[in-house]
Amino acid sequence: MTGGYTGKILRIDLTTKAVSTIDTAKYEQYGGGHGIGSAIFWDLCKDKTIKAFDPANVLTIMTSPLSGTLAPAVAGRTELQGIGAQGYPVEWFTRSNFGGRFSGHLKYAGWDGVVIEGKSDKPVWIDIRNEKVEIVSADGIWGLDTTEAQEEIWRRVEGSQVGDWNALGSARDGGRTTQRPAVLTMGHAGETMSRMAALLHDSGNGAGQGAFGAVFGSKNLKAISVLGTGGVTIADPKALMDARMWSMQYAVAGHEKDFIPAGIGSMFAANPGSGAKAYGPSEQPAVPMGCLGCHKDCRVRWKSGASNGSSCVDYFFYNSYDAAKHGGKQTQAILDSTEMLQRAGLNSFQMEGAILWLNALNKLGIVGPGKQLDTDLPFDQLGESSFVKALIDKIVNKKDIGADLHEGLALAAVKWGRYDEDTKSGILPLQTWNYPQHYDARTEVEWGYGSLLGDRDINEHDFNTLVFWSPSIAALSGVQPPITAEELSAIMAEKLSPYNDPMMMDYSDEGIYSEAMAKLVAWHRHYTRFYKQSLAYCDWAWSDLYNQYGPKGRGMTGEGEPKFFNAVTGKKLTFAEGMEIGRKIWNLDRAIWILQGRTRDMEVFTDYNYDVGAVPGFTTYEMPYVMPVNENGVWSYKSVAGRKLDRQKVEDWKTLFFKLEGWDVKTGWPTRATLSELGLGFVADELEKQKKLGS
Amino acid sequence: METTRTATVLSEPTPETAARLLGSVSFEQRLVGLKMAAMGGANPLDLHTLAEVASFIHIGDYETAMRDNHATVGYIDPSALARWVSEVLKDEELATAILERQAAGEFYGSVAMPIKELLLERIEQCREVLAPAEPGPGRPADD
Repeated sequence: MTGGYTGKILRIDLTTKAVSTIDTAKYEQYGGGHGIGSAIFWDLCKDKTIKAFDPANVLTIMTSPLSGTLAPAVAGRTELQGIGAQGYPVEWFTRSNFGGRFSGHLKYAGWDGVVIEGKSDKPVWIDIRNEKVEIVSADGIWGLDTTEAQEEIWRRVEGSQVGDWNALGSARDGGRTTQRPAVLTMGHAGETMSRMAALLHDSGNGAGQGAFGAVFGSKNLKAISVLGTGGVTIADPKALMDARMWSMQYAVAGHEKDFIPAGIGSMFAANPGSGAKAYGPSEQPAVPMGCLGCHKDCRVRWKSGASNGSSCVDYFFYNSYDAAKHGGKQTQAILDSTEMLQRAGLNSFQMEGAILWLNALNKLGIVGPGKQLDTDLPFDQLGESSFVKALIDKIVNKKDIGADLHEGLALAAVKWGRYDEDTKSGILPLQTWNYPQHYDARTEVEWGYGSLLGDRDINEHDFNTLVFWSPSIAALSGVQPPITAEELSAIMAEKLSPYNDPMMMDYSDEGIYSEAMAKLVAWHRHYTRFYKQSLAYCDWAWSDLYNQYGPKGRGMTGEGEPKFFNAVTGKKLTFAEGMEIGRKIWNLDRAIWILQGRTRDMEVFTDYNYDVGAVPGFTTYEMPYVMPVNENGVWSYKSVAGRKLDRQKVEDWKTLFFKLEGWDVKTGWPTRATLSELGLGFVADELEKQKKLGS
Repeated sequence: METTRTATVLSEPTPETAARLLGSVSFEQRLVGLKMAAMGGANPLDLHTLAEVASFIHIGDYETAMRDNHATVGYIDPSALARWVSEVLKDEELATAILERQAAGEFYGSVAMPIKELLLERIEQCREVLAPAEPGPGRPADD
């Protein structure tokens, strides 16, 4: 018996209003999610050089075979792809992802994904109720914020009190549910096609990076609503239940009677609510909440209701300003600010960078009333929600300096003639491709390299918690990390197949330019492309490389990912086979970027990464960046703060990486041999036709 | 987490010093802190007043970080802070006191909150110095 897939993907052309289906089987070799999305994009978007707002842009919204099942920290993720509106200098083919219950409802409605093409002549939303699909006028919904739009769609679909039975068929077994439809929508920012526009689902589930909210806006698509009453066929239900119970020994939930702290770095194990409660007012009650089927429930609901479901950077964009304004305490201001951001549908990473940059320009006397960049933005209210409200209003309505910020940070900086100067000094902290620094490429290079060679801030924490957060927070706290650097390198040598090189954990000044670091980045690219973005294992729990509850600190990765996949689908995938599919998808994505114009010489960080060392001083900062290093054969955790990247050594490292991947070292383009080995001969044909095949 | 405190008695600042300590410095003279959060990132934050600095400095206890796998830290290098207070704010006494509290601990978590308290004490002193004089006992408030 096979399971996991519904067997069909919904295809909607907003120009012609045609609704059709794609057989999932044609693309099943890619696993699901991102892999299927990339393959469909390759097939349907004939001209890869078009811009994000071109009606021919193809948007894929894909589930995984594990969506809507009992597999932990995976069932609620949805993967989005298409040409994004955020990338600079090229609007790259890119991806985003969000949690919640949308993917589950798509599966319950009988769909493995949705493909959106064309552009509607008038604002519409898409109403999916099991097999029934309608493109509906967005009159009365267009103009609403993300919360209001969802509530209005709920009213229209349910047509009665929330919680009542909602019958989707006239026959007795036509299906009924008390569930609300799962709605993915954009807000005012998307309607005005801001390159900061996000997509939101329920509360706090956001696909921010890539500006897909603006792509929705360009297609006159306000929202997609889905309500399903079916289920997901499980090939081996007992194996799935057994796997779920087995996995609980790696989680806090499985240690009710013998609780010990999970240990920093044990991402799968962490406590409920841990992704949000540190950011809100300590005196305000909050309860954990999470995505469909998840054991972990990272997020919280606050008593005030504001910012419910938000987590992490949703708050991080502004929490320090709130604290600075209010005597070091988080107040209602951070909850209200987060709420406003979510309702407007804005990308919090872009907003974090915007506020940091604008504040610096204000202090420099460049931005402000009567200044070179004239604005009445109330800088004296920085830290209050009123400042965020004013900034959002200017951006989404294209007023004042917001008219330029509406186009994203990079294009605003270019228009203001500040891009080169401010990315060189670092006051505009764009690391690559118009994506603000999330973690520092100068120190935590696997993060920076992965972003540089891809299309966006990778936002993949597989190593981050182990190589940066755990040793750094331990050093700041005067304790030893849960495991030594030597133990960490040993675990990675076991887990990171097929490379299995302990030196992959060496973040020393030499290690960051080594072949071992190339292996680490390659492993990361291949793992995440398949297991995280195609099978949809959540970044906040997977990979499970180190786990304090696991035998000798070993987490589930290697065993866990295929165990759940095989139980659901009935396939017999090995972990290594999954890694190879990931490599195949990574190469397919690479080919799309190459057709968009990617060349090796474009793949450079912004200048501050090479020119500014974060050395102690009061106008720079000393980062407590403690990382594993191997010096003279000895492993230790050591501060690598103050490091700048060496331009030539980065170029030499890229050559090592390209060799490892089987790409042309002069151009960074994949060769026919590499693509053919991966079953991508048709991709090689197209690259050759466009004179962009590596040799 | 144990923190180390040393008794510090700062002399009353002059009105000029108090005004300077409560004022805002230029962009070039700012102090840059590092805001850290598991998953959220590790990024700089510009600080232009002593009050902002005092509010920013924080570190949660390690047990919570262990349990929740999540915490936030407002990090400022104590040596850089002392240098900023000395060279920009021209308060040698406060700078010396910061260095004393730094020397009394071995790691950031043990010195951060004592330094924060020191800054808050100094800010309070400055506010008192600059506050309008209270009417003295036995004197009419308005004659």
